[in-house]
Amino acid sequence: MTVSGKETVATRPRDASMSLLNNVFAQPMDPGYAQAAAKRAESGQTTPLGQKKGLSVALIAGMLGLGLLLSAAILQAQGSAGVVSAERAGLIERIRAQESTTERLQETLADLQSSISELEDSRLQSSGAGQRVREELQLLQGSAGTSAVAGPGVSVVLDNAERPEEAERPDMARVLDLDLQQVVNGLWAAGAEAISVNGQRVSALSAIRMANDVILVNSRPLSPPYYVQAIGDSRTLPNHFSDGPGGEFLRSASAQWGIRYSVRAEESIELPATSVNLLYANNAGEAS
Amino acid sequence: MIPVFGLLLGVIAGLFLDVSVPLSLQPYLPIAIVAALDAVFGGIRAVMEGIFDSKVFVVSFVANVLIAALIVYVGDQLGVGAQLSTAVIVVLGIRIFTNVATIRRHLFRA
Repeated sequence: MTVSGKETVATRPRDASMSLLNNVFAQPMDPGYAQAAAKRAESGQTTPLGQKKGLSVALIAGMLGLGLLLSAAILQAQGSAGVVSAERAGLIERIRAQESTTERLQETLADLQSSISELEDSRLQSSGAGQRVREELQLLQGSAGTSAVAGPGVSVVLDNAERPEEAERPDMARVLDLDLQQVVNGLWAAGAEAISVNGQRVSALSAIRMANDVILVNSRPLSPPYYVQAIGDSRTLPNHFSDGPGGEFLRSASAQWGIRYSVRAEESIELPATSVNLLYANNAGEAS
Repeated sequence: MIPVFGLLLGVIAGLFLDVSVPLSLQPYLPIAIVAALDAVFGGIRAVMEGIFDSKVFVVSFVANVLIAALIVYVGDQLGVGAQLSTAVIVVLGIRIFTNVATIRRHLFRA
């Protein structure tokens, strides 16, 4: 039993499991042709019945059908491609239109805000008490971040390591929200009076956070390099920053992960305003 | 030579007559073309080998196209339409390649 079993195993074709593929390879042509030819040979016809005629009519008809199918498919493919690209163009156009609308509205907003502050100024300047209120208001707006400010200060530039993807830990070789937070807090600690990151003024309501590997400040996405500008005493601010926790953090990040940074004292920098809208917080005296 | 003119005539006729395939039949058009190609190359090889038979050719052409489309249609209804189209294209593709290789050997003796 075992011997015969072995023999059957041995005589079994090696590619028996691929008989389907073998079949496809061995019979690429319709077997009907061979059968028809054999039948003709049996009945004694040496040349197929009217071969010239049969060849031209049937084969031409087949080719005609193939050509029709081909051109129909080509037309179809082109038609659907046209529809897709037209839809795309329409969507792009709508996006552009919405973007320009947003831009226009933002310009209107800026215009209105500047006219409001002008009106405030002109009203307050008319009386002595108003003058004092105006100075106080300007001071408060400067520290709250709702008015643009200018003055001497320091600028800190942060950038990713040279080739973050080749680093041992690529996630740490990029500037993280933590790095920017440390720098901004270090600048506050060193005596900065107003700070902006890539043109985004940092106010009491600002958050520096990360979403999908993008750093957001005031909910606006920023891209490296990050320019952190701070207004303060340009003689003491750089040194205080370097000696303080911010500078220490930057040095260790640079040594450990290759984060690039530079600190420079500036004669004059201008920081833009940000809008701080308090919806729920009222003055405690008024609310009670 | 004449069959090539037939092919050209078909393409031109299709382009000018603006044949529009119903939307529900569109997925089966590429499969039908591959099946028709298989039948045509099988026919050409039969001509080369001197065993061409017009009846067999016409029947194989029509049946190929219809069965290929039917298999894909059934596959679509069962939710395996893409896999079945792949299967049809693999089998017909192998046949087309083998037939064209034989035709080439007949033509160039190489």
